[in-house]
Amino acid sequence: MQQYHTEQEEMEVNMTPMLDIVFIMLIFFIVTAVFVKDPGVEINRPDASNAQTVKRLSAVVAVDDDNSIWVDKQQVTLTALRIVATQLKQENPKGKIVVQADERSDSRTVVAIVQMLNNIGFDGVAVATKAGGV
Amino acid sequence: MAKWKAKTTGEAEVNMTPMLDIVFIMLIFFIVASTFIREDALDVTEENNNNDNNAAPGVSPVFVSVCPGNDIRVDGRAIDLRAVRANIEAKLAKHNGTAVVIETGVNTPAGTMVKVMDQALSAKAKVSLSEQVAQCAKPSLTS
Repeated sequence: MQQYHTEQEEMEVNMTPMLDIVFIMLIFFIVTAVFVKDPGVEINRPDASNAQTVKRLSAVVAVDDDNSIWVDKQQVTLTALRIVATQLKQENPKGKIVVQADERSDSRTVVAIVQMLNNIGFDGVAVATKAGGV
Repeated sequence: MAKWKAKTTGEAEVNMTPMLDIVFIMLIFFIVASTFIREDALDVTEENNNNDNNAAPGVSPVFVSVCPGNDIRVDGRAIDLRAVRANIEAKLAKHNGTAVVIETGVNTPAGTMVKVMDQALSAKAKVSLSEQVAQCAKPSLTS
């Protein structure tokens, strides 16, 4: 009985395996964390049947129905967007950009943005459509 | 001297608890912060012109112009939105090409443009958007 008591006093959970796993998870999440710049406006995206799911986004650019351009919760001009996009390209060369164009926005604005992003050299430039396209 | 050394090395253990706390907080932060944003989208990436291998030389792309009021023209011929795919497929098959260039006119809603892009992608075409402004017919004022 006496011996059992001392054994209980000495017992401690071995944390080392859990710590290993926690560290691996931590490193995984640090490496995969790419902070997406959200446009911050709700866009009524058009339907499409050939949509592909785009991962590894580095930013989402939105064009609303007033033809205002939004990125990172700020309204910007096309010139300002070029500066933002160039910085993004430097920070994350493999990142992709999706342009969310409202159904009623002017297509010329969308085309200008797509052209500009292609000229900067983005790997994936795409026009967003409704989630789970028909 | 010998006694002191034995005592310290035998009993010493680093207290990991504060580090563990911080590691857990960081772990939870990164789990929460890494919201894997996925977006369904149509690809309009343009490859650089110098490695344009899949386009046969001398084959000109199919030009589609999109104008306000669902006025869509494939190589100059006005067609219905639903017929865009069939027309593009026919044109591509004829010239053995893959490229479709979409031009849009002033005040064309992006929704129409995306529908045309979708149709062109259904025809297995490589879609690119043109900087050229499509020459649209002036809307008649009488109607």
